[in-house]
Amino acid sequence: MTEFADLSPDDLAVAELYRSLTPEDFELVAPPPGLWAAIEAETQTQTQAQVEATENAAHVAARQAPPTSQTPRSEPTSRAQSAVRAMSRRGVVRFTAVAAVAALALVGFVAARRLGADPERQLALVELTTAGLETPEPTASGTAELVEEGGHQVLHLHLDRVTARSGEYLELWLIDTEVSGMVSLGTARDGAEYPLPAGLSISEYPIIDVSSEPYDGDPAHSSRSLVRGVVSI
Amino acid sequence: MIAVPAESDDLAERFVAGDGDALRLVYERHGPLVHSFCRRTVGADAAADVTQEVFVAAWRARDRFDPHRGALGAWLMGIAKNKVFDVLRRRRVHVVDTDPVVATDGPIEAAPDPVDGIGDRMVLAGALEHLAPRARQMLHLAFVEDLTHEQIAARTSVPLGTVKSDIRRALSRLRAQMEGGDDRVR
Repeated sequence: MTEFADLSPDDLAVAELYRSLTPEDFELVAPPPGLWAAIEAETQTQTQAQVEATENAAHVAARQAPPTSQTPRSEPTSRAQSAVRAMSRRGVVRFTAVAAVAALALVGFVAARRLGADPERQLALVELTTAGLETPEPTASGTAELVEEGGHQVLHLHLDRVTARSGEYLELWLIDTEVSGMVSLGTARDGAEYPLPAGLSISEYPIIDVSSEPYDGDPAHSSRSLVRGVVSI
Repeated sequence: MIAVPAESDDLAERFVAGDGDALRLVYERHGPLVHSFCRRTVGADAAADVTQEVFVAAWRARDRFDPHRGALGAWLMGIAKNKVFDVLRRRRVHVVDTDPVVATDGPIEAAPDPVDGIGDRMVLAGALEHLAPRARQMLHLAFVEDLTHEQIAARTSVPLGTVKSDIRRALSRLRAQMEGGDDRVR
């Protein structure tokens, strides 16, 4: 291809790819109509979890402040405001005016719900153990508490002496009883909360598993489980 | 490598900033691409679920996307490829007796190549839509009909130097759309 002798290798690679295009590559099939609603629901869960985390941080800070005259009825508002201020300071979220109002309302709602009668409902408490696992740390243990919060299921993870192998990290999984399917919930961390994907049934993926994973870019389970438990609902 | 945002508007910036409305627009713009890719790789039944996973993962990892280093469509395709690999791997996971230990029957070497190729070609096909008709025509003449630059100049009545610069510019614009940036998100 002397015609293209002056093109960079990257450009030539694009040209080669262009040559290999098939009509099928241009065919687009729109996702099913309900899919956006599912994505929206799941990403809102995430946003609410972030807001709650910040709200908790603000709550801790408020408790450490010197006591003043008791005005519990105004607490949700002031807490919500400090939470929003804290978020802006850290630049965690860039708020537009509308989003700030919405977040304020949401935090207010969360705070009010915390003070109210029905904060969250425990669905299951699972002991995580090393039973049946080959592990270098037999005293590793933990718990996974499944709760329902505002119509969403959230897993609260607590780990004790569960450490990844040198140069590796911990990953949290839900696995089905046939071990034919699994869902990664991401990096496992003591004290962390994991909103379950909307539509995922814990009874279909009842095995809660923490593994040690190398940074090798391989998304599959390493087969090195450190602790594990089974949810029974 | 690429100094200007590959998206023509500020949608990518708004997405990275956490604007929920931007996520909807990103989904409207790139949902058909991701979904179609998933249909071709994991099948029609699983495609919607995987598409959902891709956009949720993208939203959660949005701070890892750099609009100055890549195009959003290519970045989403990178996530989609990783999700598809996950699904294909899971389908190959075998049960080892009753012990719930996960194992695969060796490295999966055959799967990634076609999946990668399909994803790259679909991103390229989408990027072509944004080229001017003349640039698309010249790419076709140069790389499908294999005409020389001089033949293209004669065919299109465009000066030879313009043919060369059009083709070069078209390729680099396409390359910018193929660049996804951080591809470790999954």
